[in-house]
Amino acid sequence: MLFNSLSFIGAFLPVVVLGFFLLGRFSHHLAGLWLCAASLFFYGWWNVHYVGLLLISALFNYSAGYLMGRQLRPDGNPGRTSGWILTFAVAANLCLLGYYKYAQFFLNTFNHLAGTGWSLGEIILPLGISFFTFTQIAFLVDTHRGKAKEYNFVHYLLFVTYFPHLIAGPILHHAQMMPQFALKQTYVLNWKNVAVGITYFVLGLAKKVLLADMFSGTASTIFQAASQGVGPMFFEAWIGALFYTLQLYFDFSGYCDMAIGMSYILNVRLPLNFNSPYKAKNIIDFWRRWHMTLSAFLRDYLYIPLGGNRHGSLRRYLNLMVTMLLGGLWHGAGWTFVIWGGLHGFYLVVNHGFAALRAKIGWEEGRLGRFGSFVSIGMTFVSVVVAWVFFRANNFSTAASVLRGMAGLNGVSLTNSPGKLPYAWVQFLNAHGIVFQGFTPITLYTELTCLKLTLGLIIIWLLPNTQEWMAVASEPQTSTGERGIFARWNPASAWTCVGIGVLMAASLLDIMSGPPSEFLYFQF
Amino acid sequence: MKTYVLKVAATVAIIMLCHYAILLTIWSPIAAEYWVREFIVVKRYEAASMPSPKLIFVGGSCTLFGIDAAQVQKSLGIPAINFGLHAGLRLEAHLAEARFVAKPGDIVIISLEPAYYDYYTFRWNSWDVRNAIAWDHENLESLPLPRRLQIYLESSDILISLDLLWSDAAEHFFPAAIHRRLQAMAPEQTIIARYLAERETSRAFAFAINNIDANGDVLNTQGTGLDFRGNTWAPTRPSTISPYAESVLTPFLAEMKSRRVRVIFDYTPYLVYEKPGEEWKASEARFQEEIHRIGGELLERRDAFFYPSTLFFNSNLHLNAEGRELRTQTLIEALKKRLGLPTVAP
Repeated sequence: MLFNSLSFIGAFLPVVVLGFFLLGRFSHHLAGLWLCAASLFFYGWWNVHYVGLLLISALFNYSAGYLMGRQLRPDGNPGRTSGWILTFAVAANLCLLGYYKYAQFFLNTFNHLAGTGWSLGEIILPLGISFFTFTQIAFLVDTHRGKAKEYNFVHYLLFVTYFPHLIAGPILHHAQMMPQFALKQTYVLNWKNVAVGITYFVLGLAKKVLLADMFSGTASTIFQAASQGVGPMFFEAWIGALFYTLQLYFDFSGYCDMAIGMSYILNVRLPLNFNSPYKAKNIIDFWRRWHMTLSAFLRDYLYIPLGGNRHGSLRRYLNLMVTMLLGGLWHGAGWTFVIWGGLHGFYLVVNHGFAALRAKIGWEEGRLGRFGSFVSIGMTFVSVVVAWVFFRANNFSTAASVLRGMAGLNGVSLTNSPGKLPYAWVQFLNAHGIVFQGFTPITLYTELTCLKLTLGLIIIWLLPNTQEWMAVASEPQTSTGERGIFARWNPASAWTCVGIGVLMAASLLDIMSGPPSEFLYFQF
Repeated sequence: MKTYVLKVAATVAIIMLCHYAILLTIWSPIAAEYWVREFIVVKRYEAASMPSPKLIFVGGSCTLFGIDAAQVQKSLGIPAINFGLHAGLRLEAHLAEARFVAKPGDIVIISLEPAYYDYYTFRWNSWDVRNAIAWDHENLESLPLPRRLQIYLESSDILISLDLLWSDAAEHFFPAAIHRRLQAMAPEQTIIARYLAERETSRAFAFAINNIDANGDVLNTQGTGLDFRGNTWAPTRPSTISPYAESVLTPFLAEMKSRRVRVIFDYTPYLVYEKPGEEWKASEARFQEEIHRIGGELLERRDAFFYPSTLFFNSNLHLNAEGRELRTQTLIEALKKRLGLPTVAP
């Protein structure tokens, strides 16, 4: 069941919310159980067979956490065998993830290198496995460190399966979630939270169905053409890459807003996961804004345990590369994802190297003022766009073809007609790869394409993001601490009501007019 | 805050109600592909003037751009009409045109784009709704209200109702802004008169009635070395016929048989960038069985239409003039064999 489907919005969510608050009047435990059952139903809607896998995974990790928790010493230090349990449990989690997500990939690579033809048969990737595995690994490590403790299986199950985050995050920590379910007021309908939640949800829904899905068509057309051997020309290669960049932004941002929104309705706060990443002034900043909970996970549970920045620059850069390569692989079992991660690792190394150099020569950050910020944001954005090409392409040759196009090596197509240009000039230009077939011959619709692109760029760069717009309502946990430059959410204003109502109606009509499209992060 | 939630809910309800009320009560010429209507009027007119037996080529724009009915007519000595229209039209719409123009003794050759065989739903999409509202409003109006409401509920986005309001205002206050749409919605006789006056006067490609000939072929599609570079479909499609497509095609075939109209299925061209593998052969065999199962016959093999991009015009559905000539030649040869027709020397 997708967040942007009619069955979810019109039936599942209202029934779950109603049931939660009705049961919450009588018993918090029952309400929690209801939410658990609803989450399992939500997961089973996609493939009922994998509900068992999810339950086994949760039961196994709960047991491991339980054993480790029992061994915790009064001073908070882990018990004697806690380390062994942790190692075993993390390894088991990684084995599960490895089998479902990476076995086929490594076997294919081996077959390719060795010329063999081994097969594991068809392995269907369980939805959200990367997210619920990482969430549980974090829980195990936190338990080992004495930061988390959970002896109630229903509570634990709720923490893992809680439907707003189950499929595509954010990656949660036990300490962030469970205290909220212990609060009495969580089970009491709060109209302020409902109002804030609905607004978040509508904004997220609109981002997904009105914007992300609008960008997906052109991006898919160009990348698909490239995968079929068509070398996209300069403008269309850039348009393909930029449209995918915008699609991913609105898709993921929309998902995060919807998850935060429906949690708000249930009086639960989810951590901020997305904060205008394309406004980042450098790659370090980008990773503080894009998929923030994954970045924090990789930092806390991979980068720092690897040694972080504690063993000199060279080791630090190596740790960064390893972290980002594995981060890339986490996103998908494919070498293009590894390259994407490696590219970001390289960007981070360059960024940290530059920061060190700047500190050494005493060059203050921001000394170039607004112009410097503009250039920094532009350079970061272009670097990210280039890396997304690997993220989107289904193989190297497709990525290479699009990148060649972006560099102008597949030629440049200008307007539909050379106009009054002398024929000899046209011939000369044609001979040098400049043709007159319209700016985007693959997709045909040039004016509309430009209009969409402009709209997308205006939204990502000039408008406040959802958290900024909702700053009045947000609490510290979900607020960016920044203030928007334009309007604020004002529930007393008729314009706000009408605006949100229009977005909701337009989104619903759009949803009703065709099958819902999946969120991109569902595949990870 | 409760008031805010109620106000938002009320706004949503009011907008939805207004949207459906506009769809059910207002008609105005909204933005759509009006040339389809003009082509239908003109092609019906030309087909009506042809004696039977005649060849009727039915399909989407693959047929429109891919077959030179004039060349077929000249080579086989049988009147031929290219009834290729738009691949966005519903399968039922193409078959309705075939039903309308076919007379006893005629041969209908259906070249459907592969997606038509995957057709799985009774459900309209917003393109269908937009075009039906725009230029096929009478047919839409003739549907029972519950069915119309179902169509609108399932397949109309908010832009359609906004467009209806804007076009209604434009029609009354500044008709020049939507002149082309109004021209296309003129009575059939007016369109035919305009067609006869302007026939074949276009010097460049356009979806316009002055750019088709008396056989319904689209003109001015010279390749100009464009070397089309867009997406294409795999040569493994079509492979099966969906239950829905079958439920539409089977009664059509039965009806045509009862009216002594022969129906032959054929492929549309395939744009291939690289030599395809062998997978298409299994699809070909499967599809042939499927066509026989529903009581049809298939004219050619799909590998006869594996064409390079240089033979396409501006989409993988549209052959250019050179591609069309090549495709038509193979069609003529296949028809000669299949029908055992005497040929007329050019």
